Amino acid sequence: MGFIMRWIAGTMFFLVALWPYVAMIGGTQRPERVDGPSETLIVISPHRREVRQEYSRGFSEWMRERYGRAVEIRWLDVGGTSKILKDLESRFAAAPDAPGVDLLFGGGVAPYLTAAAEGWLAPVTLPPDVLAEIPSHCAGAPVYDPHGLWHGVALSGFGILYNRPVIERLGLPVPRDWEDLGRPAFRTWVASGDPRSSGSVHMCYEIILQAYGFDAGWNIITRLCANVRHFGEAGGTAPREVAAGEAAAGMVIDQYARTVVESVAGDRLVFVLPDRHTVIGPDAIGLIRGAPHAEPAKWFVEYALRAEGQRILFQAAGAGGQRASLHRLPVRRASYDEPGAPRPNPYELTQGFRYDDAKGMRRWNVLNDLMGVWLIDAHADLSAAWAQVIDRGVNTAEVEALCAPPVSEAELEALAEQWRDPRRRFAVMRAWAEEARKRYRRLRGD
Amino acid sequence: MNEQMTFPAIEVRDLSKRFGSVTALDGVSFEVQAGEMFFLLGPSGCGKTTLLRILAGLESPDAGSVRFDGREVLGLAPHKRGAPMVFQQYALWPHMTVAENVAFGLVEKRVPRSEAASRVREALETVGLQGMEGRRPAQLSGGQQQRVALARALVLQPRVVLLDEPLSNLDAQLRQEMREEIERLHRRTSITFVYVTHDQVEALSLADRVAVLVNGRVSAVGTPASLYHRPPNLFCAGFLGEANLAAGTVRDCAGGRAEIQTAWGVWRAAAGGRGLKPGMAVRCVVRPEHFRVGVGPAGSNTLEGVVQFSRMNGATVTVGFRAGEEDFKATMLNSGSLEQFKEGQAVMWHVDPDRTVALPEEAAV
Amino acid sequence: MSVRRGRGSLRFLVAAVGAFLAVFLAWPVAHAARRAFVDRSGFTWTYVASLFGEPSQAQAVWMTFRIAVLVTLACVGVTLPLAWLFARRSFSGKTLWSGLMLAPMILPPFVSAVGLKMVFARCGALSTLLMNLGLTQGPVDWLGRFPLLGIVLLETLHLFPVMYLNLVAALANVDPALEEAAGNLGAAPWRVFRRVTLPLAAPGFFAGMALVFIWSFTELGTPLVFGLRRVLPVMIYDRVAEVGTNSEGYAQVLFVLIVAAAGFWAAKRATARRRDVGTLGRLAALRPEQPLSRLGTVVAAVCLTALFAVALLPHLSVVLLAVSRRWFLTVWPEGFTLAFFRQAVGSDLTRAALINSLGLSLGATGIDLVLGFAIAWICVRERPRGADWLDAAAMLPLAVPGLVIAFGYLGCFSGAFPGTWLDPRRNPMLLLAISYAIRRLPYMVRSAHAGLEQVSRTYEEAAANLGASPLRVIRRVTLPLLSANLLAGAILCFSFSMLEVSDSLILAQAEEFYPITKAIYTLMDSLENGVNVAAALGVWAMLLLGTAMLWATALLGRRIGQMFRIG
Repeated sequence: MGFIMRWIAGTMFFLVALWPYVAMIGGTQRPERVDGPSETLIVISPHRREVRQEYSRGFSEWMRERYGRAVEIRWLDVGGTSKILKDLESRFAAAPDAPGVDLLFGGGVAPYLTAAAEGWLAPVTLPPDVLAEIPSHCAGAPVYDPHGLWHGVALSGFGILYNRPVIERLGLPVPRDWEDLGRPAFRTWVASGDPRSSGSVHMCYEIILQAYGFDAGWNIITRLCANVRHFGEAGGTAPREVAAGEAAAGMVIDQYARTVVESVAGDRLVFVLPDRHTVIGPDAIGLIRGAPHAEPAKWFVEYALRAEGQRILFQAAGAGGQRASLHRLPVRRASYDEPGAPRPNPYELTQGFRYDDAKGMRRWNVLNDLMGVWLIDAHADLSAAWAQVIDRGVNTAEVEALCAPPVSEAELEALAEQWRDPRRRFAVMRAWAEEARKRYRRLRGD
Repeated sequence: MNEQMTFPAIEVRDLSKRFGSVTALDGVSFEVQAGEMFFLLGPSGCGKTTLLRILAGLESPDAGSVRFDGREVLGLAPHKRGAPMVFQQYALWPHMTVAENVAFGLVEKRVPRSEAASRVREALETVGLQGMEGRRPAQLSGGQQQRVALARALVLQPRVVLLDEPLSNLDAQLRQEMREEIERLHRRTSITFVYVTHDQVEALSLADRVAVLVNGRVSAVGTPASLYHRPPNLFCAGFLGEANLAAGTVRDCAGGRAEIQTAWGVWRAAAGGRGLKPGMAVRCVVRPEHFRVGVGPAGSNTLEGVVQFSRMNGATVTVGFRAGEEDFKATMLNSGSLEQFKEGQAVMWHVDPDRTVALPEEAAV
Repeated sequence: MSVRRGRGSLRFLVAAVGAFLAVFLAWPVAHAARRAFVDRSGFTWTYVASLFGEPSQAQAVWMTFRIAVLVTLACVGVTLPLAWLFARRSFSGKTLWSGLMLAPMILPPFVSAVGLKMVFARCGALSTLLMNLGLTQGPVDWLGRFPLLGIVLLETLHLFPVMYLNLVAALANVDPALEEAAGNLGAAPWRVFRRVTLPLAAPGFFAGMALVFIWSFTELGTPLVFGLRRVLPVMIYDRVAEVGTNSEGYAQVLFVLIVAAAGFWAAKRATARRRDVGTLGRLAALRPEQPLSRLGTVVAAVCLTALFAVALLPHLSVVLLAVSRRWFLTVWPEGFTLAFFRQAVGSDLTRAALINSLGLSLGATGIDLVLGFAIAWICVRERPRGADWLDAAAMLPLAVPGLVIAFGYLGCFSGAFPGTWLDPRRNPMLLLAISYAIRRLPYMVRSAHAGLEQVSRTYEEAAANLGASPLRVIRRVTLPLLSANLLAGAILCFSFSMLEVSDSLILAQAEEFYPITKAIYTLMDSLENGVNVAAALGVWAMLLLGTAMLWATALLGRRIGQMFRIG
C-alpha cells in the first residue's frame, strides 16, 4: 500500500515537474551562431520586456548581417526611471569610471537631462546620413541633444485611456481632456502610477501643469489625484487597471495604451489624445561614460536610429521576425512613409502649447516631492476631504481651498535650486506634510 | 633464545573506561588463547559489552592496551581490526538481502565476485540457511537472523569473532539449539570466540574459559569447572550456579585446608581466596547438589535443619531447610518419594569437606 | 565510531559546514546589521532613528505589524477549533480532511494573489455576483476599500496549516490523564480544553503563532502583488537599487531581522520547555478519541467544507485565470483556452526562467543534501561540543527571511567581490542557488535528523566492524537506510526552491537570470496577457508543489508535519 502510494506520487511528481521541459523541446529557436567572439552589451532600461526582446533580436541580426559579429544584449531591470537614476548614482559612487553599464535606453528625455548634468553620459557621433533623416524638433520639442549626449529613438504621446463598458455601466461622462478626470463623478475611478517612480507618469502631470498653466494645472491635478483609486508604482499600472476595470480611466503613454488596446480584444478600451493639451516627446538613448563596451554601444545607437531599427517600433507582430507589436512612433521621418507606419504622423501635428523641457527637468525632483507629499502620501486624507466636498455639493470656494497650489510656480523654481540639500529638502517636505494634513482635515470637517 | 615466541590471540591490559561519572571498566586485564571459546560473564551493567566494543574498536578506552597476536590495536579504526562482531540485535541491514548482508565484509575486502559468491554460499550452508539468499532480514525468524549474523562474521574467516549476547533475544528452545550450533561452529573453525553473556548456563556449558566481570573489574578467570567447584570469591560462587553460604569463623588454616567454626560445630573446608587467617569471618560455600542426607562418614561436615519446603524439578528434587539462622537448599536425584522431606521435619545433612570451600567475607562486591 | 580517530576529519567537517554557514548566512546578516549603523561618514543612529521618526517608514512599520498581527489572530481563530477537532475527536472522513490540511500550502500566496485579485476586482467575479443578485448597486471596490483584506486573507489561508501542525503536535503531547482528571472534577469538555489542555499545549501553540507571525511579517510577494508599497518588506525591495549608497534599506532589514529572530528565539525557548510539561511520567499509549455525535459530524463536515472552499478559492481562481479567455464583469470566465499554457512554455522569458529555476533548484537541492546530511550527522552521531549551536544555526533560516539574506548578499558580495563570479550584479546564479539552499536547509536537516535518529547506530557499527571505512559505511549503510528521508527532504527543497520568491525577486536583476517567480512577477506587470500566462505558470507550480507534498507524505508518513514545526 505504502509502496504503491510512493510510486504513484513519485511518478505524478515527475510527470508534473518535467511537463514544461518536455513541452519546450523542439520549440527552441536558437539564433544561428556566428564564429568569432561573442560580445555583450549591457543596457539599463525601463522598457518593457517586449521592447527589449525585439531590440535584442533585431540588433544581433543586424550586427551579424552587417559586421558578421555576434553581440548579445544584457538588459538590466532595476525598475522605473527614478530607480535607474539611483542605480546609476550608486554605480558611479562605487566606481567613478567603471559603472559597468553601456547604455541608458528609454524613460523619455528627462532622465537624460539629469544624467547629462551629472556627467554620466558620453557623446555619440552618428554618421551624417543617419542624422539627416531625423528632424531636430518635433512640434517644438528637441528630438536629440545638439551635443550628441542623447538621441530620441521614438516619439511618445500622452493621453487618456478609458474602459468603455465601465464608463457606460456607471453612467460616467466620456473623458476627452485631462480636466474631465478631475470631475467629481470620477471619484475612485481614476488610475495613475506614481510620478516618483515612473517617468511617463511624471510627464503626464508636468504636461498638465504646462498646458493649463501652473495654478489651473495644479487645481486639475489635485482633483484628479483625489479621484485616483490607488497609486500604483510603475507606469504600467494605469493601463492595466483601466483594462481590468479597476478604474474607468487613466493617463497613459500612447505605446502602453495601444498595447493594452490590442491585447484586450474588442473595443472595450479607447485611447484619446487631449486636444491641444498634450505633447509629443522623444524617448531617448544615451551612452554611459566609462561604458565597458563603448564600440558596440555606439553601433546600437546607430542601429536604433536607422531604418531597420526604427521599423521595430511599429512593425506588426509576425512581420520580419517581429514577435510583439510595440505600437510606437519612430523619430525617422521617412519611416512614416513605410507600409504599416502608425498614424497620425506626429511631425504633422501642431501643438497647442510649447512644452518647456528644460523647465520640466529643473523641477523634476521638486515636483515629484511636491506631488508626493501633497497628493500621494496624503492620498487617504485628500480623497476623504474631496469626498466631503462632493457630498456638500461641490461648492467652488471649497474646491478652491482644496486645490490651491501650496507654492507658486516661482517658489517652486526657487526650491528646485535648493533641492540638492537633503536637510533643506527634508525640512520643506515635513512642513508640507503638516500643512497638507491640516488643509485636508479641515475640509473633512473634523 | 630460539624458543618460538607465541602470543595470546588477545591480550588485554589494564583497560579503564569512564562514561562521565560512571566507571565502566576499571583496570581490566586478561588473555585469550588462539582458538579458545572465551566468555565474558557478568551481570548487566558490569562493563562487559563496553569491553567487547573496545575490542571491536567501537569505543576507545581511557587507558590500557589491547593486543591481537601481540600487536597493539587500540590505534586501529574499527574497520581495520579484523574482529567481526555478532551484535545483540543482529544489526542485519534491512535494505540488503541475506546474501548481500553476508557478502558485505567480502566486498569491503575486495574479494573477487565469484569467490565471494561461493564463500557466501558456503557460509550460509554452514549455518543451515541455504536457499535463503534472496530474502530480506525482515522476512526471517529470530533464529534465522541470528544465523545470518553469525554467517556474516564467519564468512570473513577471521582470527577472532566477538559475540555480544547473541542468544538473548531468542526463546528458550531456540537458545538451546543455537548454543549447540555455536559450539559446533567453534569446533569446526578453530576461530577464537570472545563471547559476552550474562547467562551463566551459557558460559558453563560452552566456555573453554570464563572471565567473570563485576563492576568493571575482572573478578575471576578460569575454566568453568574450576570456577564452579573452587570459586575464588563469594561473588563467583553466587553468580556461577547456586551456592549455599554457611557463615563461620576461621579457627585454623594450613596447607590449603581450613578449619571453620560454624554454628553447627567445626567444619573442614578447602581454603579459598588469599590468606585465610584465624579469626576471619568466612562463608563456607556448598553447592546444593553436594548435600547428602544423614550423618555421613567420619570427618564430614554436618548440620541439622528443619525442612521449609520441598519441590520436584523432574530429574531432581530441591529441598529447602533452615539451620540456625540460615536458609539452605539441597538438590538430589529424584528417587521417587518426598516423604522424609515434609515441612517441619528435622533432617540431618552432611557434606564432603572436599566439596566445601571457605571464602572470606568481602566487602560488598 | 572511534571517537578519537575520527576527530581530525570530524573537526574538518564541522569547520567546513561552519565556514559555509558563516559566509553565506552569518556574514550577510552581520553585514546588513553593520551597515544599518555605519555609512560612509562613520557610525550614526540616523537610519535606525528614521525608521520610527520618518512618517512614511514609521507608517510602514506599523502597517507591517498590523498585517502580521491580523494574520496571526486569524490563524488562531481558524486553527483552534480545528486542532481541537482533529486531536480530540474522531469522525468519518477525518483522514481525508487531515490529508487536505497541507493543501493550502501548495500555492505561494504570491501566485494565489494573482487569482484572488481577479475574484475581488471591482469588475471581478464577486462584485459581479453581488450586482447580479441585486445586492449592490454598482461594482464594489473590495481591495480599494479594504486594502489589507486580500493580504490578510491570503496569508491566513496559506499559513494556517503551519499553525495547525504545531498545535496538533502540542495537543498530542498533553497527557489525557490530566484532562480526565479535570473532567472527573466536573469541568465540561470545552472548559477542560480551555483550562487544562490549552495551557499545557501553550508552548506548541506559541511556536505556531511565532512562525506565522514571522512569516507574515516578512512576506514580500503578496503585498507586492496587491500593490501595497508601504510595508517594510516591499520598502526593502524598493531599496535594492540603492544597496551601495543608502543605508536606509539596511536599517529596515535589521529591524525585520530583529523582530523575526526574537519570535524565533521565543518559540524555540517555549518548545524547549515543552518536554517538561504536560505529561505525567509515561505518556498513555493511545489517546481514546471520542467519536462525534451524528449531528456533530454533520456540523464538522459542513464547517470543514466551508473552510476548504475558502482556502482553495485562490487555487481555483488561479486555475480559472489560466484558462479564461475573458473574465470581466462576469461571475465565470467567458470562453476557455489553453493558449496561455502554450505561451508559458513558449515565450523566451518563461522558457529561460523554467530552465534557470530547474538548474538553481537542482543546485540548491544538491547543496542541501550534502550540507543537511552533514549537519544532521554531526548533531545526531558525533555530538561534539557546540552541536546544539550548529543545529540552531541550521534551523535559523526558518526565522531569517529570504529578504534579509538576499539583501545581505547583494550588499556583501557586490561590495567585496565586484565583477567576479560571486558578484550578484554580474551573475547571481551561484548566490541564488546558495540562498535557496540556505532557505530550505531546515527541511533537509529536519528530515535527515529524523532519519538518523531512527536508523540504529548499530547498523553503522556493524558495517565498520566488518571492514568498511567511515566513508564506505555512510555510502553502503547510512545513506541507503536514510534514502526515504533524504528523498523527502530533497523533494521539498527542490519544489520550494522552484517557487522561492523574495531571494529571486531581489537577486535576479537581468532577465537572462530570472527564475520562475521573478518571471511570474514580471508577467504580472506585462500589459498584454501576462497575468494569464503567470496564472498558467502558477497552476503548474501548484501541481508541482502538490505532487511534491504528496510524494513526501508518502515517504515520511505523519512525520511530514515535523518539517513545518519549530521545536
